[in-house]
Amino acid sequence: MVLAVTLLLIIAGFALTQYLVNLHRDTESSLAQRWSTRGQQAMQAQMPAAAADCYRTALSYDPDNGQYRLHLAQALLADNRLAEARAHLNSLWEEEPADGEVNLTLAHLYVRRGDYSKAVRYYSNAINGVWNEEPRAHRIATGFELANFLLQQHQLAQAQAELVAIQADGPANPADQLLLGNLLLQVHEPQRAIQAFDAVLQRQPDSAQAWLGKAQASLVLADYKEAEHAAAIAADRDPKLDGAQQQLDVVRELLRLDPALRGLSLAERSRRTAEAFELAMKRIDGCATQQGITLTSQNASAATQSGGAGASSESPATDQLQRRYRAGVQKQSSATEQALRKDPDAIEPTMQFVFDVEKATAAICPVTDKSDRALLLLAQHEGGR
Amino acid sequence: MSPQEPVIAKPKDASGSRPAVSTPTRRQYWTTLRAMLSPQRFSLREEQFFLLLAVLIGILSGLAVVCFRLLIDFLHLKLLGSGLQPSVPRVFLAPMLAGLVIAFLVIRFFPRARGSGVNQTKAALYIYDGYIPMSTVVGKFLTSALAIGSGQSLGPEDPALQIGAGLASALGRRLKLSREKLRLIAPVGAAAGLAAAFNAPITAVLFVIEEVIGRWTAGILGAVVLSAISSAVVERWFLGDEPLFRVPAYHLEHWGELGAYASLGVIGGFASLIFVKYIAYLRPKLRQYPNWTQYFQPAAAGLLIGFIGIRFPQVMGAGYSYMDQAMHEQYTWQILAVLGALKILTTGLSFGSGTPGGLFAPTLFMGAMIGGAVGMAERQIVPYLAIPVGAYALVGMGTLFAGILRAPMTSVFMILEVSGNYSMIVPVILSNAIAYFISRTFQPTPIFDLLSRQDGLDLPSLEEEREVPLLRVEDAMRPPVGQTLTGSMTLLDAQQKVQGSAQEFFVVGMGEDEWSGISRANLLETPADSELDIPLSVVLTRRIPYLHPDHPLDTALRLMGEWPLLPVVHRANVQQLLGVVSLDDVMRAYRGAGLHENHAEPAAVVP
Repeated sequence: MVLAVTLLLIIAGFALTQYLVNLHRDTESSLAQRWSTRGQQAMQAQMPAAAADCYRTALSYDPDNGQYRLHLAQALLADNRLAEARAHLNSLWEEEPADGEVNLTLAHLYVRRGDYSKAVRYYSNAINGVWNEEPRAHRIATGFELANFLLQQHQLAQAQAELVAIQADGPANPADQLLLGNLLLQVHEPQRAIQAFDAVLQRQPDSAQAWLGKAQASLVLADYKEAEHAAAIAADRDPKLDGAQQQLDVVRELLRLDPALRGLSLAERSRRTAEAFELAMKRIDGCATQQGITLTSQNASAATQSGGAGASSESPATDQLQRRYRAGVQKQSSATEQALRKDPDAIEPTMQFVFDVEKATAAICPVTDKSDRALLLLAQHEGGR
Repeated sequence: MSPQEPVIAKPKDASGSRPAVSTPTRRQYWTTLRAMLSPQRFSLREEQFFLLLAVLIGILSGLAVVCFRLLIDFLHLKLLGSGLQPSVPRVFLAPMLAGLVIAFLVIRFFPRARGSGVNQTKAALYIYDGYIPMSTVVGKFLTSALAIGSGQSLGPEDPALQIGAGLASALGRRLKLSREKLRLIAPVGAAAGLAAAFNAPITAVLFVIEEVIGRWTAGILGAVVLSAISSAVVERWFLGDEPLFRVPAYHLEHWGELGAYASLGVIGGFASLIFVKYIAYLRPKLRQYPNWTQYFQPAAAGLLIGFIGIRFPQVMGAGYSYMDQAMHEQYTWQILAVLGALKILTTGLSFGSGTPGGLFAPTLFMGAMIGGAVGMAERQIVPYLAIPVGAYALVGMGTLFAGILRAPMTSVFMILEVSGNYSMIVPVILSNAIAYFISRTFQPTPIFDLLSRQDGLDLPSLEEEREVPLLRVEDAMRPPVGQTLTGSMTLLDAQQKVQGSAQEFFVVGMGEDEWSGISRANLLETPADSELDIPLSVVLTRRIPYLHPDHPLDTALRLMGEWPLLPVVHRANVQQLLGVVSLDDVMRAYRGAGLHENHAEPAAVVP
């Protein structure tokens, strides 16, 4: 009899306890949800410390919820509590080592800690990891983030590899293609950049940014005609687009000044060379004025008299400018239009001098004038021609 | 055919007709069925029934403990709010007001709900024949839940243990169990309660064996294991099978790490000592105050805890979630050290004031914080070791458990069970052993014995009992010297052999792993001449029990009977006599004398 009553008690106890446990779970679940929402609001209000407290509370009601733990880690990261964030992320990583978001947050953590190799490792894990929603988009976005990080670390080769991998994946989104093109430009992959911009233009033919990007890439490839064409369209499609008109002006100036363009007569080549020479001399003068350097100092004269190799006590910048100025003064008579027409062989050395001046001054003074910018571009391409 | 035999249809013969047998009637069917279901057929022996009862107790205790934990959470939510950092008014008021209610309930209605559940279960076992009143169970359930839920620095495990023991006792009384079984049923319930509270059945079994029962006997072990397992299954059914802590991965990579754990053992040992001394001082001190102050002592403790809780809410309640945080490096070592110290202070206040609740969770909390603090500090001092702080916190828990509760076996297995990581075993054993040694050296009386003596109960100290050296037969036996007698000797030969001996009794090797004995007087009684050539084996028909040197000495007492002397023989060769032991020898050994005396009296025979 007692046993029967005990069994009945157990059955009733099970039912009652199940009811209470369900009630308790519902309460905890709603509390966890409520605190998580508060955490989100705090994060949106840029209050990561408060958000971390909220997420921690949410987690105390739902300790197995990985999302709460991840949000807590992200809040702690935002609050610069790196050790705490790492502890949560490590435990999440132990549970789900392939989770894309966890790996990405760990990468962010190690970026903050300045641990380059671990950051790259977790970025790579995130790219190859599991994403529950929109995996392709997440992988591409993470790839871009990694490429940017590598660029910041001056790891061009690795960044290049990442971007090539993204391009091979073929981002469907024009915005991603545009970003890809611009990043490819930064890693000196103009040909691939043009492919990316063309992909954008196929879907958005009026994208001024894509035209501008294409202009820049064409310029890098020394395809000035294409660069002018693309820059002109960019400026036309969006006159307010930052840099479009500037780009067009520079390309046009370059086309106006380049003596090496095909089909130019000797007279025109000579004229362009002489103009470039004058611009170079002005550039030296302007840069010297900007830096407060006197180009015709006693030392300079003495050095000139002693054959130009005098030991100068001036700063390297002063020395460079003075040296080039002196060389220019010596060339002045042979760099006129008439002189060049008579001696076409002097065109190339004169242009070499111009390129040398533009490169040297660019290292000392900012390039603001479109003519100087055009000559500098020519100087940069001069090696690849 | 008897009515009980089942009726079997016989096969048809070659002609297809059935053989001539009687067809069973409906009545016969009913008779058979009734016989199959008769109570006699299902009747169990008491041992079997006890095991079944252990399962039922486990289930009941599991249900009760799940409800107990739900009630604690519910009260915590209502009294302190849902946030991890409760508001200041709640922190101040909740433990204080709850303290007033608790004191009223305990003093007026549930006087036995205060104090240690472990000791009350031991008292039931050793003093009250297994009796724990149901009112104590109800009182413990309500007052402990209110205390822990309101933020008093106590844990739910000890009350859960007593709730389990109380339910078992009530069930045992209802079932009119024998006195012996009724006594043993309280520890069975205690194991169930503890298993459900800790979600760790092995720990519960070990603790009850180590601290409550004090001995391993097959009769009780099976029941304790069954009740603990069934209780843990019920708990996991409702609350999930997640371990108490999320333990970070750990592997011993460098033997230098053991040095670090040894230092944790030293620090943990002294921290344990401080806590036990503090309780030993504070508890009787508070009891010296007039009786009316006892209505306010839990409230005063609650007020002080609330004051501390404004800045450090982690010390309020059981604090399992904070232990988890400590394991995952979410505090600096300074904060961890402060939390460890404050937990010692607040737990002493709560427990000393007579608020019902247990010491298990606070002990683990202190261990986690102190372990974490030591780990983080060592990481700065010896960075190449790079031991995860979580490992230190975990080992710290076991260390304080061994140092404070003085259950060394349980402390080791508890850590292994709650962490599920057996690679921790060496550090845990090392650190626990050091803490246990320090605690025992400077505080010879364990905390549970201390508490029971403060309560005026003289319960057996199981630690002290373990320390008493076990006397064995080898401590009392004498070497076999003198004349040798064997069963193959004739009476005449035997008489001639013992002629010059002063010995009064001779053991006789009978061969075939048997021994007998004969007194000198009997042997020298002159028989008829014709009988002198009879072998001793024919004359001596009674066999004498023999002993082995490693037998406990009380075995010698039980076997001695009317024999003045028992042979002590080799375990691998029963025919090889190693010595003899008499009642005098046994008594001399018990008196602590005679162990090293040179017994000149010759003894026996090597066959």
